Amino acid sequence: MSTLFEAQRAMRARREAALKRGVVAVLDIGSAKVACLVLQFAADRINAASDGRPSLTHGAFRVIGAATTRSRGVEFGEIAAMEETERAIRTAVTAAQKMAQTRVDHVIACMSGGEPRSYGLTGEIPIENGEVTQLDVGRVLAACDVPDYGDDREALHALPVNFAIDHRTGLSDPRGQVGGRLSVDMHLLTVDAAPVHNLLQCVRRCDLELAGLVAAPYASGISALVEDEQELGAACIDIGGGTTSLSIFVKRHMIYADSVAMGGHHITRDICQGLHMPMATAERVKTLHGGLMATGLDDRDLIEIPSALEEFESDRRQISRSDLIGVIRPRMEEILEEVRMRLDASGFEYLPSQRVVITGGSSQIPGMETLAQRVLGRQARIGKPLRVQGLPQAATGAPFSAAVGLALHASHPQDECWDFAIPADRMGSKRVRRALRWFRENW
Amino acid sequence: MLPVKVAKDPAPSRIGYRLQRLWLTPRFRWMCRRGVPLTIFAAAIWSVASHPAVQSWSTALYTDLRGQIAEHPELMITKVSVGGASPAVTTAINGALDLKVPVSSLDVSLPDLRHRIEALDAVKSADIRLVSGGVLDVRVTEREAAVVWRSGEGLQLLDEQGIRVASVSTRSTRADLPLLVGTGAGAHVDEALKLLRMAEPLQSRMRGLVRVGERRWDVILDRDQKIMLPEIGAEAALGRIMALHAAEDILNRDVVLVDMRDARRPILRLSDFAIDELRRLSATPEGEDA
Repeated sequence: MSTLFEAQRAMRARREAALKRGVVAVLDIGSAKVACLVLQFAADRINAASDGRPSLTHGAFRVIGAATTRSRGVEFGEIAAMEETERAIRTAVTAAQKMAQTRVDHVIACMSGGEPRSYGLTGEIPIENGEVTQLDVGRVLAACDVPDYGDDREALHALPVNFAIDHRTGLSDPRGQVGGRLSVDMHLLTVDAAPVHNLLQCVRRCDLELAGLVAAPYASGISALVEDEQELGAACIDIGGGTTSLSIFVKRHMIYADSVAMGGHHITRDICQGLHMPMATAERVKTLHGGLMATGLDDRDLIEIPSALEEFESDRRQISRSDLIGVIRPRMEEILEEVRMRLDASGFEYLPSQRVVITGGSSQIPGMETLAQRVLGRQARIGKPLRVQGLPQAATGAPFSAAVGLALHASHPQDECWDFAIPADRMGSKRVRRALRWFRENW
Repeated sequence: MLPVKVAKDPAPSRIGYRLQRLWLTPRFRWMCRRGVPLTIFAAAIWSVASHPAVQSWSTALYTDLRGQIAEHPELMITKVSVGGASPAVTTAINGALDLKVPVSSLDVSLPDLRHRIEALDAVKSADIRLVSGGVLDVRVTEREAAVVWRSGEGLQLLDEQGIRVASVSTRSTRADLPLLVGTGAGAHVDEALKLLRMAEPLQSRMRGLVRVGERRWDVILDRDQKIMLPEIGAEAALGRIMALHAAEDILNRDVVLVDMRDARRPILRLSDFAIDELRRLSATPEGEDA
């Protein structure tokens, strides 16, 4: 396991360096838009944790730059055209830097595609000294048996969700407690390696350093769910442009994440095909007049559609709003059905509370809550991201929950597996081997 | 037909992006805004200032301007007045000042003049000021001679602190002052003055004080009488002698020497005639007339 998380450790080190410097950017590279927020950390509010790692309380940072641009070259949350994506990132970063009047070198990005898969791992060790120490935590995390998830996948998160000491379960921090055996439940999230490497490459081409990579559903969940929901159990469904990702939180930990490769773009494409209009018009009609619940009034609500042949002024077409709803709704139902299947597969129904929070750009269609309640069979609400200091009004809506979540994660990350020291016996042989290799190569 | 519009790419070019990031780097920005202009400015000034022609021109300009200002009549010293000094000292002061009036007051330094005047032995302190009308007013306090000191280098006048005031050629020029004799006497003028003050009743008979072996005093009176005082406690010893003299009138008797060097045992030496007479009287039987 030690070789596995080297990249993550390096990113963590960079994140700490950025935190010391005080300025870090978060970059949400989605299929519909690229959002960039520049965060400034208040140096006096950085409180060194007991193990010496700097961490921040919520709200210890301030957004000093924010910019959004239309995303190009990203499909289903994965980079399809490197050059185009790079340009989009450059546009967003330039604008955000200009607003912040400072230069950023470290970015924290989120990964929405790549077919995330969740694994639940358990590990158990005897406690050596009767009292659980930091080293014991490291050992028990190292003792988890990692499933063979394939060479072409990368571990994005490895969150210790739950600790148990001698059948006493539900502990969030076992350090200092007394017992005989320590066991841990860990949530391992893996994604395809190729999109991750593409993202890394893309960020590197923009002269930026990646200081962290976070799964998009995780980031959305952090910002869109309120504390009670995170504690008691809730699902966050982030309906974006190209993908719909969902994450399940309980006891303030993400325990499951998945994604459906359908989103707002599919609705636009349906309108474009079904109602015969150009893509740009379809997008505009969707955002201005779209809806999910048809009423009698909608039959009489006529929407004028400019013709594709603009020169003929008289050649105009009108569709009723119920026609539009008739196109949008089946696709949204399909998306929600898929989400429901994933939720059922994850065992969401066994959680104490089963709130559903819908966020992301496509959640702004009127009637979303009602439809979600009908399809998912649970209470649903539209989630807006947590308010953070300095965020412009334009960036406080549901489409920005992933970006804001990234900012919150950057300021107050949860402990991951690679934050704990690896036991020396697992580390040792590798170090010796590396030293020997270095010796051979140089003499 | 739809007009063919090529939408402008909002993305910055790679070079533009890098330039913007460079510009937003604080250190680079500081260099561009402050560092480079300051360096250029400083270099320009230095290159101009280091040119020899410029240097000579600026020096000439400075001296010229200073001369113009210094030649103002309001700033000229036309007269030196010395107050509080005897004619001989006044001459000495004028020589020490060495001023060729008229001279500009910018060219003289009053503290320097004061030091020069105070360097004269006869001057205790000097007070120099420029008063209106171009007059340099010098007020001096002369040293007052307290004793005459005869040493190997001749006769000198010393003040109360033992500092030299002047030289004299003969003792009779200052017959009013007491005489000190001997090497090292000049360094103990205050002690000598105290002794002289105690010996006030003998003033008419006082010839002077002699410093013996640079450590103690002898008081010399007329008729070759000598009082030898100890090294330590000379005043107390002299006090005893004066008390004896007041009570017994011993110094008016035929005594050549009073030796007080050992305080426990004062010794008198009588003259030869007095000793013979004493012996004769002690040999004469009781009751017989001398």
